[in-house]
Amino acid sequence: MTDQRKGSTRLGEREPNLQASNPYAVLGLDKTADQAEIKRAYFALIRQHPPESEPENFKLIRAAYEKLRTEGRRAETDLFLLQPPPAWHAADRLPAIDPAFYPSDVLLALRRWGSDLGRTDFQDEFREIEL
Amino acid sequence: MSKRSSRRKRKEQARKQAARQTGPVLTQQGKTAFSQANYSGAIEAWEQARNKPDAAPGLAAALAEAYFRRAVTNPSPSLADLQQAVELAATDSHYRYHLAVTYHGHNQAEQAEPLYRQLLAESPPFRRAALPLAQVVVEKGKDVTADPVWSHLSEEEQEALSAILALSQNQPAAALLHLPSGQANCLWRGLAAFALAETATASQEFEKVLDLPDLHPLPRSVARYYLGVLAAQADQTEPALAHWQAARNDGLDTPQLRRNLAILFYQQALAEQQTGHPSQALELLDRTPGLNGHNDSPNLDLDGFRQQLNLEAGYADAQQGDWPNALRHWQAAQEAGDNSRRLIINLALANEQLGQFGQAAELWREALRRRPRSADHPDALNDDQVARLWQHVAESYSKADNYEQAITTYRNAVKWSPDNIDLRLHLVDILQAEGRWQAADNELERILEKKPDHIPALTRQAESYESEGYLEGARRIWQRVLETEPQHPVARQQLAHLFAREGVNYIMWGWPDKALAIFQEGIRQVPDDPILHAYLGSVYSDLDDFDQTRHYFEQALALDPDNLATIHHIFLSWINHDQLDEAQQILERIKAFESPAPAGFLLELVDGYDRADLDDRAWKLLEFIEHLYPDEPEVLLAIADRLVIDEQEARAAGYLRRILRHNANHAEANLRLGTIYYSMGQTRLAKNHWKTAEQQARKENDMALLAELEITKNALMHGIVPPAGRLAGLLGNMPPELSGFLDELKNYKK
Repeated sequence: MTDQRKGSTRLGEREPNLQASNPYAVLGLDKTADQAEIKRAYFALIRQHPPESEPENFKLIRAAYEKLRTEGRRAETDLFLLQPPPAWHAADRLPAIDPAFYPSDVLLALRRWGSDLGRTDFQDEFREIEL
Repeated sequence: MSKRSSRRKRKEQARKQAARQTGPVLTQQGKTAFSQANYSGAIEAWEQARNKPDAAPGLAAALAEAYFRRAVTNPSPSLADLQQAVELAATDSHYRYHLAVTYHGHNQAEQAEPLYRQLLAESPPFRRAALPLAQVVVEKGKDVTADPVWSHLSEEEQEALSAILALSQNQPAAALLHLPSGQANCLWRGLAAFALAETATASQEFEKVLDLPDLHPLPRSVARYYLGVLAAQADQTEPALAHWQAARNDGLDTPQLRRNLAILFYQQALAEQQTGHPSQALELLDRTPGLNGHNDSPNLDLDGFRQQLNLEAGYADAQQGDWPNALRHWQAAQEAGDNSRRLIINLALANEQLGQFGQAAELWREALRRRPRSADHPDALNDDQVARLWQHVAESYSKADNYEQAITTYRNAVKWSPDNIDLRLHLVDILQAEGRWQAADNELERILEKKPDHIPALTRQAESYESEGYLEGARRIWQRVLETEPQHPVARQQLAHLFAREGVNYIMWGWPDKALAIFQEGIRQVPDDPILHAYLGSVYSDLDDFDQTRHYFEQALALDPDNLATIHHIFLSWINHDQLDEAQQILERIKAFESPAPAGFLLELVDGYDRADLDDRAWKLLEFIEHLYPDEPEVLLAIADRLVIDEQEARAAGYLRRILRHNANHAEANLRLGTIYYSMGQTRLAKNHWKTAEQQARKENDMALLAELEITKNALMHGIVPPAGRLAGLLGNMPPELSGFLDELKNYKK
């Protein structure tokens, strides 16, 4: 009974993705689901996608279930599953924009401000030659 | 003209030309170049002119101006040119001033400062040096008002510099007090307002900076940076990004700009990642070249984020079946330092999907080596799983044609799961495929010790014995299989084949009694095999016991009425023993087939008649075949060949033309028709057909036909006839029934 409750919670946790290559994802299960949960998820899904009206979807569900149906098959399936990336919690340590005024910027601007240091055109300083 | 005299002439011309380069000529050349703004050309000519005895008096001054102009028209003014100008015109303050400014611009204030001071100390003072010298003093953090330069500055310059000094000391309120009005000081007003958190004023003043004409990009980029900060504070990410990128493009490269840009890109990439778009996030990170690895953004971990994004993008691509991109992302993550087991497994899967089995095998091996050893670990593997992974490694090696490694790794798999018979059988298969029969037999023995009736192991053992020529052993094993599974189809077929093979051997050796016994034993053990019955019937026909022959032939036909190999054998046997009525009955049976027998099979029956010199019957059968297959080239060729033998070349040519009507390039028909035309004296036509035959044969890589064509042409055109081959002679001497028997056996095995 406990298992059943646990299973029904898990089934609702993930949306089944019939197109996924991962059979757990097809059945909408976590990789830690037990055999009873797998079976329950399978039967719930084939009630939603009966073979008579949705034969293609049924095939996908059935194929996924076949890969997990027994402990032995599941052990084999688990060996060759794509490994999802680990979780990333970058947002927790995201630094904020630095809004400070930097006096050093004043000196930087000064270097090219107001004097000949900022000039790029010296045509008017050219002198005629006398030869 | 010889080479030597030509060289001498060129040298002479060069000498004369050099002699013509007098001082005035060079001076004029330099003037022309100078007037065309070709200052390098002018410098080159005038430098040469200076060394001439008749150098013009104003040449040094002109040269100094050329060096000056070349220096300042360079995007980064050249110190060497300016030094040269100063050397040539030592008393000219103008060039020394520009040398000082250039030192200053090259961050060599310690070289610039004494020059500025010298210029101001002149009488009259060179006043333009005052402002940059004051800037040097401010940059050095000294009190500019206490410096002698202060007295050389205008009142407005003094006010502005006081304000700038206050700003640089983070005293914005004081700065605002000093700042004179006017467009020229809007940058400083903007900075002071920003420092005082007067954002609206700051924004207005910075916008004015952007509109200033002739402003150096660097002060403008400072204004842009702070406009970006103001935009970011108002959560206007796009304008902030635009300002900061423009500032960076204008040459601003401060730690705060790099850090803020990195944070902004990171935030945007993070938003993309969190909405499930890792590839887009990666593209954003890729727009931040040069932002990684700076110590001023230590908390961002851009490299770590990029690695994560590559893992996620690879996973998303793999789920959509885009394995090339998945592999690219995962390899990028690996190159960035991710060496986790989960990544290695994904890399192995991607390589497998892309058919790169060698790499996949190595990666799976690595994944095995890295497996968690603690049984409590969530990813721990049990022994069977370890064996299965070793098996997978072996399969990958096998697909990569690396059989040695495949065998080694299969053995590893067997070690982890010694009772797994299927696994051991895989090892046997690869050992057998590699011809390591003894090692394969050893493995089979181990299986059979545990499971003596294991049929897949027994069948492999029988195949192993048979390939070693140990037929009796193989037969014994097949019999053992049939004891366990009496209807095992492969065992029955193989056993019958072994009896047939042994019986035919006895016939070849001239021991019909032994052949009889072996065929009878074969029938006892595999009573429903038609060919054994047919063979037994044949042996009886050799012994002239036609009742028994008929009995076994009928049984063979009853067992499989449509078996062409059996029918062929029976037909030939009857012909070979001159039982033509019986042969005719077989032929009638063939003619009554619901779907016609293949043309090739029927033509073989014609050959049977031929071997027994039954020309009329052969022709009648051919007519029947032609009726069935009027357009089949094989049939038409066979008829044409027979007509040629009967010296009816014209009719033969008609059949060959029928082939060419459907396929003008048919090589064999062209060869034959060419030969006929040649024999009729129509050489040109003959050669045309031979040419087509040759082209087609080359296209089809039909070496046999090319050889036949060569022999035919040599024989007809040059009278060269090849000696009869030894093999041909041997085949010619073989009794027809025996060669027929051997052919059938070959077909039967197929």
